[in-house]
Amino acid sequence: MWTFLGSECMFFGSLIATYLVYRNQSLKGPYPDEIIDVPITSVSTFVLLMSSLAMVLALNGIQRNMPRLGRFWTLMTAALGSVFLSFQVFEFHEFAQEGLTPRTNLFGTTFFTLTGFHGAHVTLGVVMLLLMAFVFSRSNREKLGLLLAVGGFFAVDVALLANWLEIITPLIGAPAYVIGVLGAAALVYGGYLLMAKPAAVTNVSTQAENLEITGLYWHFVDIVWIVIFTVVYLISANDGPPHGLAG
Amino acid sequence: MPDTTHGKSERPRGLAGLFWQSSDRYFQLPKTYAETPSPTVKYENPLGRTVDRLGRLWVRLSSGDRHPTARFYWTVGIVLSVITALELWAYNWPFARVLVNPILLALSAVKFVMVIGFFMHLRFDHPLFRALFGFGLILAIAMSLSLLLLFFKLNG
Repeated sequence: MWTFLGSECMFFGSLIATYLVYRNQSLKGPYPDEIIDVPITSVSTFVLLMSSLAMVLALNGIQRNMPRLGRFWTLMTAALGSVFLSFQVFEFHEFAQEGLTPRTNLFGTTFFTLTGFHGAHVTLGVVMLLLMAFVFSRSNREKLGLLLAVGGFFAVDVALLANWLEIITPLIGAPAYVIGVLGAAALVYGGYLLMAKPAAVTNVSTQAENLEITGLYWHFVDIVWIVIFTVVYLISANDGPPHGLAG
Repeated sequence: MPDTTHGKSERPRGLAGLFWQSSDRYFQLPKTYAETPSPTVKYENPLGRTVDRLGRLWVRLSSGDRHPTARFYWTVGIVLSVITALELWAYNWPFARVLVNPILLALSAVKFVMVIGFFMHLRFDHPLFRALFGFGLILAIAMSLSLLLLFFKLNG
């Protein structure tokens, strides 16, 4: 895993370097100072940071042979990762509304490539985490609870986003509210089912090792975002047109 | 830190001797309880006892046995959140704007190292893992800097 993460450093390193090389080179707008919203991205950064904390707490729970605690924090990590992705969907949608797409200018191309690849990594991480949570659930009651909780959570998430951003036409208004309420009910009932005492895990060390590897990947995604947040958002947020074009 | 392993070296003379530890490593904190020295061992340098106490406090906070405790992780999480808030504060800092970018990069580097060291527990792991990841990281930084230098040179 560490070898893979080392190669991933080079992958993201090249994307970040490309962003920096083309920084301030766009010949037409929108420019970063017109559309980047640092306070909102700070919240999503905080969410991803907290997901990393949840991840280590999950591993800690499994290593101490407390599967319920480990599963709770694993699901919490996946939930926080999904919230981060929702922020990204919101941001991409807002940028598209403002006229910035990957085709618009160099800023759009490099920005969407970099943050898009990062978002794809986060999505993969969420899937891995959900699979791990499924592995920790042994009885049928727990598996049903997990399916209901995860399905309910994503139903609420998608309904909220669809209604707010108006990106999925059939889901605007009443259908979104119905799906949201049903999803919330499924989430609560699934959570109730998951509160059952899980069957004892016999192969603790294998489970802990699997979760540890998933966790390493998740933390890597977090450290990549730490760099992206600083370089793309905080340092470049006030970038305008190139000097020759300014004014 | 007191001698717990070999006890081979002798205290050097002069300034170097002031902070000398017989493990040949200056101020290196223990990583696990297994490395925590017995309190009865004689300390060899003027700050030895203090440094060792701090080291053992750190270990107590960070290592239950081999792995850090949940409390330690919460502490790291809170520190990371505070650093993120500091970054936001530095971003909005109205004075000496020329200093802002270096401050932001430094804070980001601190967060980066903390997540790798504590959350990815590289600090507690085998040095081989550190080498594997470090190799990729150094290569990535070198590649990025080369690319930036090349393009800035081409663009004058």
